[in-house]
Amino acid sequence: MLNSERNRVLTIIIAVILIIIPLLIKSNYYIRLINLCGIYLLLTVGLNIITGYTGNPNMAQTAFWGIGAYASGLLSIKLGLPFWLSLPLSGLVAAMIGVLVGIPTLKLKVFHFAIGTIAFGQIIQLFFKNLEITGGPAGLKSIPTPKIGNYVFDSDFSYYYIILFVIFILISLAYRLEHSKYGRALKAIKESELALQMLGINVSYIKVLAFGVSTFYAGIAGSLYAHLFTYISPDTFSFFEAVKVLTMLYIGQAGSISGAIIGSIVLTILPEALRFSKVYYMAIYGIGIVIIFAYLPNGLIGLTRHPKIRKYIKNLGLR
Amino acid sequence: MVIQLLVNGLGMGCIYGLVALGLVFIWKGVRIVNFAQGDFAILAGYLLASFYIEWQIPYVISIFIICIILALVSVIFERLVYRPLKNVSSVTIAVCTVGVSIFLQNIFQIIWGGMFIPIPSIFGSYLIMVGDIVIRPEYPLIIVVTLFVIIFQQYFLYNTVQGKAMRAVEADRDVASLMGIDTAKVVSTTFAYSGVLTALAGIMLAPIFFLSTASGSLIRLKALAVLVMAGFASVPGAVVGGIILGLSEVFGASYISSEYKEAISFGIIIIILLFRPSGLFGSTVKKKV
Repeated sequence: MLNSERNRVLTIIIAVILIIIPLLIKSNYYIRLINLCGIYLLLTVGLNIITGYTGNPNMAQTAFWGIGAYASGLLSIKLGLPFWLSLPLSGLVAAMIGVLVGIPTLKLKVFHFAIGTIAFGQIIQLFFKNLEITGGPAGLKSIPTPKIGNYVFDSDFSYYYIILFVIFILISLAYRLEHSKYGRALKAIKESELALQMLGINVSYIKVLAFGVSTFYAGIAGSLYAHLFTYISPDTFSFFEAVKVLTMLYIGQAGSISGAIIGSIVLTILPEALRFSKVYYMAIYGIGIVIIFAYLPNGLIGLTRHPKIRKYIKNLGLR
Repeated sequence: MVIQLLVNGLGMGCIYGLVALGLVFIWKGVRIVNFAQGDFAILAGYLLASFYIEWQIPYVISIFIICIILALVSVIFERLVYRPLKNVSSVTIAVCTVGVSIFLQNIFQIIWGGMFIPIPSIFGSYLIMVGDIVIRPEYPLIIVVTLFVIIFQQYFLYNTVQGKAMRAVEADRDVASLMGIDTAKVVSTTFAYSGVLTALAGIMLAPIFFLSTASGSLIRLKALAVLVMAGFASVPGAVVGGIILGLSEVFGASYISSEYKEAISFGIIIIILLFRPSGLFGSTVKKKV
């Protein structure tokens, strides 16, 4: 009773903080960073659904991000669709392609799947670079900003609320999925696919479904990205970014939504702290991945289960 | 023209085959894919630039030193990246190897700069000319070296104690360890050997392939394509797969389009995964329950 009341208070405090963030931050740069963090958060929460639960590493999450971004940009520019329509549509486009990619590849073993998605990601990037409709290497310019009636969301400060709203909806959806029968089946895939099949569960169907949902998140994140930056180029949706999203997931904790959230926030803020070392930045980043994975196999969330830290948190009265 | 392309394709194919062989041995030994293998090859090329061109160390000695360095790098990689993570999921290790790749590319950037480094051929400007066929002498040399490596490897695997231990560990690690084989040592040997293969590939690659910090990613993708063709664990599959990729790239670039040359390896990956996921010489490995 007391516990749930405390949780409610905590939720309200967090909600209030999230809502007043744009009022506290005056710098354009930091609010852009926070918006970008929100986009990565969606990518990571989406990736968690396939990679975190089932253990199949999708190394092309950014390709679906790109598909969403280009779909949304093209729908708005060529067809003149409003943002509010192109946002869900781009998610659906990404999910559709995701299902098509998932049907053959998810039957394969983990490393086959990883390599298959790498190849897919590179091919998609080649398409972005060489197709005429995507604007070639120069990318897509002047993507319209969203508006309601006469109000235009043309600054990062107002755009923040769109992202916050989308994140709220998609995270609640992810929680519901996690606690549904599908979520439980997904989590069981990592343990034993065979046992699940014995129980009469159609494993490939569930995996493809999860991949579809996962890429839907990426598509939505792409749409948000396209309309925030109003300019997209093929280089953004690279293999390196895909690995970054994977790292976000594993640094938090693979298979948990809060892990995905914490991982994406930490990995967006941490590079800012490393900016002082422009030259060594990537080296620190690369070796950081290895060290964190070696010493925190269960991610930052796993760290909170460490007895000492647990005691400390208990003393704080948070748990 | 056709003969020239054939030789070039075979040469490139042998290089891809060697990098992929390194991956195959790691896969056979410890069941992971090293996504930093392409960068190891590029490291060998850069070291050649430093030793042979900058410091004027004789060619053969440079090659010898580079092979030793790469074997060491590979073993260090095994100790620092694979071993601490042994009991974690293989996905985690895969992402870590990508971390190593990012780290190495940044180090290349710092040490050798972001520029392309041209490495002169050891044959100078000599070209083999038969009639109207013009062939760069590197390509036949690559083919010969690869043949020697394969012959040595077969001898090593089937006629020496170390080689037999390697095959035993690959067949069943636990049983091998019960038979008194020091599996940790064998795994280290496997990594060292894979490092030497990659070193040879990188050294031979350097004069015919412009070196840049990012070219490791390109080599990685090609090696992965070959690895998929080899079904991850087949030694002849890696060699044949490498040659198939090399030939299709060279012929594709000259008869179809050179812009989409890089797309060939991705296409091969997708096609093989769709139709023959167990590789060209697919002996289907059944999943253990």
